[in-house]
Amino acid sequence: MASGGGLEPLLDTLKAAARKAGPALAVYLVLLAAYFIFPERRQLIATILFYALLGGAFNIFMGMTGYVDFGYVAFLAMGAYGMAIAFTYMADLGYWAIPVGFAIGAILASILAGIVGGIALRLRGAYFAIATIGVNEGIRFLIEGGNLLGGSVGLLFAGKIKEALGDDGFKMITSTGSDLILFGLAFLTVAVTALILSTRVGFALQAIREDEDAAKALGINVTKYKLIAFTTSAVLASLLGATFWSLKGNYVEPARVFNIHYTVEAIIVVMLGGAGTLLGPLVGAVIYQGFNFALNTYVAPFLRELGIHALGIHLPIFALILLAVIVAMPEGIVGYLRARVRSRVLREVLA
Amino acid sequence: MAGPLLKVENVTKRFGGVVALDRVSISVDEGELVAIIGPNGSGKTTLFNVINGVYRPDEGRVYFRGVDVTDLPPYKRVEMGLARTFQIPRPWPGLTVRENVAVGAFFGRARARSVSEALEVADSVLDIVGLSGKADEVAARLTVVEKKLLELARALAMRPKLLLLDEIVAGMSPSDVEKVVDTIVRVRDEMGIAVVALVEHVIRAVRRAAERVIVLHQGRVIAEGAPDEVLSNPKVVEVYLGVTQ
Repeated sequence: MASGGGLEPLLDTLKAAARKAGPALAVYLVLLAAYFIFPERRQLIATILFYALLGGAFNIFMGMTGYVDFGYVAFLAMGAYGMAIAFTYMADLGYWAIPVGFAIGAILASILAGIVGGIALRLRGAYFAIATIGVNEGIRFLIEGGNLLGGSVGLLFAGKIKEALGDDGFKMITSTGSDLILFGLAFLTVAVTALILSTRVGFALQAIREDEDAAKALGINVTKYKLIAFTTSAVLASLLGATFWSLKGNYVEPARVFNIHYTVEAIIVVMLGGAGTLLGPLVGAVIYQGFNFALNTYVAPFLRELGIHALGIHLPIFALILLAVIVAMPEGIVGYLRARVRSRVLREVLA
Repeated sequence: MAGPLLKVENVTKRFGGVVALDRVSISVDEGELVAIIGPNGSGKTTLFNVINGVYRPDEGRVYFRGVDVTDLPPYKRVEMGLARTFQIPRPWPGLTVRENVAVGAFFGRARARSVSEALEVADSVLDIVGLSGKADEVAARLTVVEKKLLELARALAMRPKLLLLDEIVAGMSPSDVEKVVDTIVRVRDEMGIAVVALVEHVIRAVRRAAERVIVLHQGRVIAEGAPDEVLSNPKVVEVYLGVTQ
């Protein structure tokens, strides 16, 4: 075992990661099939994907380390601004503006993660959460107050995308194109999560979540592993922000991309589905968005006929459901099932 | 390697006005089994935390394997072969027993390179301490004695050169003490690991296994030597029983 070549541990790791990634990848493939079979439901599927990815990226940090970053949405904003910058100032790059935009967003997000993580990750629990809210609001006010990158109005660049990609290119990238990129990001997020869980990094993060002081005393460089998780999670979030807000939505406005509401939703999706698991954020997103969709499309119109105007009715109802889930199954739906399922195979599926 | 495996030189550690360690010097040779005894508050755990790197001493140096490790963080010392257990067991409660031990295999001197390799090490070590039957159990569900054995297994999975055991037999029944002490002696013999054990009250265990005893009292070393000799030292008896002869 110790005498094995350099390749064997790598293959072992890849095999273990593939086994873990399998079930979540399968669910995404089903969603992808549904996307092509039911064109009239594309909006719903894209929204579910957004939340699954938001939860999936957040899960790598919060789910595995137990730290809650209330300023998380700032990483999505970095990605959105990165893509916006690429099209606004480099439209002559044509399609190359897309990878350049992703790269700018990812770099901005890593820099932010490095700075915030380097300082705030020394804090624990509520102190960390509060410090990160401050960062999110701070950047927003910096952009608005300093009138940077469009200030409080933000950047509108639909015209620039048309200039770069042509009319057909614009239509493609703002609909199917960005949706397919979202699917690509979903596969990437699952692969990265599975790989982390199948290496020493995942073991270190779980040890940190369970008892950080013990982890430190027993030889884990806790700062290093927390920063790895934080930065990985931040970069994935930036790719999501760049795709969903900039490529699909083609405008970036500080009031929206720094809205703490999205961070709260990321927490909901992860807590509901199961923190630290691969299927958790996906299950959380399907339930959260499926539920919102059902209430707004079927229940709200019915209530309106009765004379009750209840457009936001899903929010208070969802609050009650979330409360019930947290009290009854604090490990989330997937975690709850895994702890109670007897079959070894099913347990592996829920890993 | 010339010289002792571990050398603590004139270490002083203060907490505010309290002097927890007062110019303590000890050394441990490779493969040696040493017990550090002393009543509650004598500075035993503080000494461990200084050796392990959780505390930096105010004065003095710590050398491990000939290297001055005084300023190195705990994880560097663990990589060099220093492992420990806690007085109040601290396994990672949500992980299984096997996963807990696998973490040790990843981050100690063993440096397992894949999960399957780490789990293999974990299984073999769980076998040594007699916890194989509980490998898939979540650590939170273990009894206190099992948690202590788990901590021992986790430390052994690191393939240490020096194992620091903090009150591992405290609160155990006499038969458990016997079993655990025998395991420790066997591990020392087979793996050539030096062991430093902190013991407050279970003097029977000290007599049974220790080759050398160091007595701490109010942050100072007051006696050192073979178990029988040290345990009959009037100064030691006084510290423990509070009587002057």
